Amino acid sequence: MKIRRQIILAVVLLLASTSGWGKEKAKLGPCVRQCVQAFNPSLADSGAQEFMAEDFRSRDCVRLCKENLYQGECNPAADNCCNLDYLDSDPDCQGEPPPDQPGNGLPPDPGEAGKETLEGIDSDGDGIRDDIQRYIALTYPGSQKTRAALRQLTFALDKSILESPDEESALNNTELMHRATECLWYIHSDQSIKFKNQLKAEYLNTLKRSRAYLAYDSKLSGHVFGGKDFDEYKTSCTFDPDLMED
Amino acid sequence: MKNIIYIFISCLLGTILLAESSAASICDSKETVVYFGNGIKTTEDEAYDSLNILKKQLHMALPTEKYELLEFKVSYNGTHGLPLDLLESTLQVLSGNTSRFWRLFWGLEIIPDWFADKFILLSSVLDKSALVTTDSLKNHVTTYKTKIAEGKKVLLVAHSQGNLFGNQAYWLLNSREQQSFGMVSVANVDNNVLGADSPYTTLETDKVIMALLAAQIALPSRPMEPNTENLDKESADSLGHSFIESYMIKSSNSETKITQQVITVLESLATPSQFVESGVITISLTWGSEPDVDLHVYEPNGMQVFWNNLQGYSGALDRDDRSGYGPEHYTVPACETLERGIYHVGLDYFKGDEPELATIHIEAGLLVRTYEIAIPSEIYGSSNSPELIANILVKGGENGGYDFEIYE
Repeated sequence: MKIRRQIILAVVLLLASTSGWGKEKAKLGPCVRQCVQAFNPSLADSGAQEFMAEDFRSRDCVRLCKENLYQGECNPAADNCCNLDYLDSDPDCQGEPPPDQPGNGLPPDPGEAGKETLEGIDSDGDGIRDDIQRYIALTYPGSQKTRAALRQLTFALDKSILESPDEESALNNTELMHRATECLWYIHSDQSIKFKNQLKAEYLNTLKRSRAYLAYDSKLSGHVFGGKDFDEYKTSCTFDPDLMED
Repeated sequence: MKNIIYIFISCLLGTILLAESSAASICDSKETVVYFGNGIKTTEDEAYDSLNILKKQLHMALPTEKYELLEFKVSYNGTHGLPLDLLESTLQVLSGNTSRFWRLFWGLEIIPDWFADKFILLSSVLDKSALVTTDSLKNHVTTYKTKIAEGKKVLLVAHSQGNLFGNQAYWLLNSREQQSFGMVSVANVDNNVLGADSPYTTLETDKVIMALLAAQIALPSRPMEPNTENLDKESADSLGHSFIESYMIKSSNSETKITQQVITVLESLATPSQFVESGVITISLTWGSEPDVDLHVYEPNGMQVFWNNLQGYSGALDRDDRSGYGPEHYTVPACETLERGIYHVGLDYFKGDEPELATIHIEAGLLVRTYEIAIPSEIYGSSNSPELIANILVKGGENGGYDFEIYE
């Protein structure tokens, strides 16, 4: 009886998974094809047979496409490109020197030109202003997890001063700031306050940026904000700091 | 076959929910909520740092079983434009270097006298009565009242202008609620603590308090005299007023004193009678004297929970009011019944003759939102067509635990 149940369950699972995959495949097909070809150019225009091959590349691509992670050029999977948003899980980031270390592809100092707009200059398109990218890399060359946490904080700061036109956005962006704060605290405890404020002082290097930050802050007046327990602070990181050696 | 698939999916979903809920503190029941109420020279981000410092201190000082009964929140008081005024008035001296301004502002460099003087000048001309804005105070009081109604004790650690908010909040609570509301006062700019000469901590070296004492005309009431000295403690905060840099400086007299006062007040607070259930999601509706405004919640499963259907699949309306003021209260009591998806929150002006002002207070996970809604009398008599006020989106967190969003 027990075995019969297991057989029924296996059939059910098989049916559920195969029928689901059939529909999924049709929907994901172009994404997976593009992804497989990007990973392995020799498969370009190779036709259906190769595409359907159950090698690790296509399985990886199915996962990336299903989870909307496929990014075209630098994916959080083995494609010889370390995706900075997935430092902990992208195999290309493991065992390599941190991508933001001095001499490892840092953009040039934008100088005064970098202060002309609220957004600043992000010449390498990594999502972080060049001057702040350089500050983080050059100030903390020996700590990958600190750099990752400060990058998370920079993303939150960006959203706060660039995308808080109304109170609701400001409140949501404050949650991102808190999570970044908790992540940095997980790594450095109360010393994190100093690291955070030093970064913020660098970040708010123009009157326009300072005003935008204070305008964002003024929208928070009168509101109440909750915090996690200390033992959950690690979960506030968008990466896994415990997988980083330093 | 369909049943088997359904059971399988249900089990899988249940496993995921249980796995996530076990890791989340929002699922744990807490006994006391500790709020930090900030001073005027404090941005929200810095207020959150102050809360962390306080939390760490209590984590070290309290036995684990007592610490785990505490929940921590920031009651943020605005800065009234003071940082911007300070920035604009000092920028010329700083040769336009805003980064240097922020380093001084956040105590990363020793504050020079001219900078401290400028801050004292700007803060001393602020009108005390204008500092406590009605909207902010009302939001804070709504939160305190909600927590006390849930049977929780409330402790406010108030710094600088936070004392003005705390004292005024206290007088807006009824006598029963006051028994369960305590305050630990730090750098008090007011002349009392909750209407009494209760314990407080003000440093002898606090130049802001000293300036206020010297210029009584700036405040209708004279602040309480400094009563604490930190010997041999160096700080970049030459103002001597910062919560983190001056009052909670490591191993200082003030740090020890404040921590001890928090513990003493925590032990002295009365546990309030519980009027409504606490939970992972709580929604409270209050209004004025008109007889009946109704709270409606549509759960992700589609169930409408309101006066005519008190029990949902996920939560329940555990308090219905038909005689004015409210509260009406909905709660999802535990993570076990929390659903992924959207909870829609609405209200219906069921019975009354005059326009009403309703307040909906939502707490979901770490999020707290308060909405004020003016309801015209014209919709009097509507019964089952609530006006949508807010949505609560519950989703699984990327790193385990739940994520919440509240939006209109």
